[in-house]
Amino acid sequence: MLRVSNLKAYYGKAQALFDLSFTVPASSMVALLGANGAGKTTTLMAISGLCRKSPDARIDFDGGPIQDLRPEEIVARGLIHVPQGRGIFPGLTVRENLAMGAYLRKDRLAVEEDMGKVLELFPQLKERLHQAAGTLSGGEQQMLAIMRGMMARPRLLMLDEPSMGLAPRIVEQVYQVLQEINRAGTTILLVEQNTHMALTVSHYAYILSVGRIVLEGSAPDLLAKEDMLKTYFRGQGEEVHGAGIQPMA
Amino acid sequence: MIAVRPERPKAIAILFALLAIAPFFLPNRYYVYIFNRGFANALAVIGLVILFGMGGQISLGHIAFFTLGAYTSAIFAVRLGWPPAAAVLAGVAFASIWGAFLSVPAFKLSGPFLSICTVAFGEVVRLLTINLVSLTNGPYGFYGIPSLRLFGRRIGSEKAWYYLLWTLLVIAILAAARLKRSYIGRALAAIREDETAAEVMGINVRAMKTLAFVCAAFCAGLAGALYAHMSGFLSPESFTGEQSFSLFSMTVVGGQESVLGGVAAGVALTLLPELMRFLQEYYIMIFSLIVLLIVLLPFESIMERAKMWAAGLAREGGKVPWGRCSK
Repeated sequence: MLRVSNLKAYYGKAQALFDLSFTVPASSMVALLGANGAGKTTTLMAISGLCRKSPDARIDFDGGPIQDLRPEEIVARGLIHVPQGRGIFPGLTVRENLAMGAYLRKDRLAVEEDMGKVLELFPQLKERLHQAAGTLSGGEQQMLAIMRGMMARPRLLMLDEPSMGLAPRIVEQVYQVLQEINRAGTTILLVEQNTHMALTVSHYAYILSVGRIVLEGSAPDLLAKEDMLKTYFRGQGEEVHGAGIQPMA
Repeated sequence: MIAVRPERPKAIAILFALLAIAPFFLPNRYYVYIFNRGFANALAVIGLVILFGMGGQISLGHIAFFTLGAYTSAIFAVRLGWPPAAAVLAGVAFASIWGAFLSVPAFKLSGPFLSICTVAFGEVVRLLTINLVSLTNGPYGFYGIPSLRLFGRRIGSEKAWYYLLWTLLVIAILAAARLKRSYIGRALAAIREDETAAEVMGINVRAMKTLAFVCAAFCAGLAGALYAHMSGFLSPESFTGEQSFSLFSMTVVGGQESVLGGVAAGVALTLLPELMRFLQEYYIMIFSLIVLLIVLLPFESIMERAKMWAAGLAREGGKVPWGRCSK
């Protein structure tokens, strides 16, 4: 469904991504894992058109190239990004936030219907519909960000560190909902530092280190070698290449 | 922030009815003229409410659009002999085009950087009005601007201007309130709250910023063009950075996002200095103090304090419960 090839991205002169290539098959849940500064967020920003990329990069979504489209055109195709740090609109109410998610949709009745459905995912937000989103707890804000993403009827939902700064119990709840969303047919690309949680729910994962994919594999395989993965998160990935899992060429 | 809110339609209706008959009760023509100035300022403030209140984009050089509207309209009417009404439209169009231009730096800049940029724009326009003597007559001032003619009748008296401006103001209020509830208003609110998040919602941030700047320039340009024909005389001295700041403070005092609040503050802050003339040299000090108080104390809290005070008077026979915690 999503195929990224030769993706390079720069911040000024500093190169953040080196020839990244990966795929996200339809109705799967794929995780992009890595330590701080590995380039996970940059990858998502590049896909959704929020940062500049090299001219030879190619991003195909649903059979068509999207690398040259503007962010709003990419959203219109059903590729929805739930940004890091939740990125909700703090001064707007919960309801208004949800309505913003459906900004590009013209089918008002269906939007109302979807709002009901989306609220079933996190029923605790039902009582808070008219509260300013900035007054919600961290967990609720993350839930709201996911719900807002769902309001756009995404074909592919990209989540940037949904577990960041949340209590373990809340993280579990968030991930349960992500699994539900995925089972109901929405493809998910997940970016995480929380390796264990992400590998438990996703099907396939790529490990990113300093702007390169250094390892990939099915989630259960990687989960079995979790101890080894940890070395990548300490920035010592190179030393364990001979340790059993095939590194990327 | 300010008490005038669309939730109180009755109070608003009464206020507008009062304004409709006000010219017949004002002591003399001068006061009607001051009201007219207030209405023109309020019109410009509506633009800032859209740009700053709704969209979060700062413009500290807003008088520039007012100036562009005023001088363009005057030049078209006097130098080119256009009918004043057509000249006004030309002034509004010219100001709006420059609004679109000024939105370009706002694509990249925000906060203090954007403010400096808009201040610079304001200064450039001010210096042009002084130095382009062949067009603007520079510091000598632009004389002999004809008054407006509408439907074959000349808008000559202060009262006629009052009703013209009042009508346009009501239309602008309704339009701005409608805009706020539309998808444009929601997009602007999203941009104000979080630009990146707005972008990933599928909002065309650049187009919306341009639209907000054009709306703001349109309102200020219209106010300026009308002002030119109302006063018949333009001088660069009436369009300084100070004017930009006062338009901005009217917007903030009115509660930023509230269209009616902005209008109320625009009219009130124009009238206030005139009413305080008797204070002579102290008036700027008192005036600044009042503005400061309004900004520091939300109107509701002032009202609440007043009520508590009155209740305390009644209950405790004269003792005033200042400083007591309210529960």
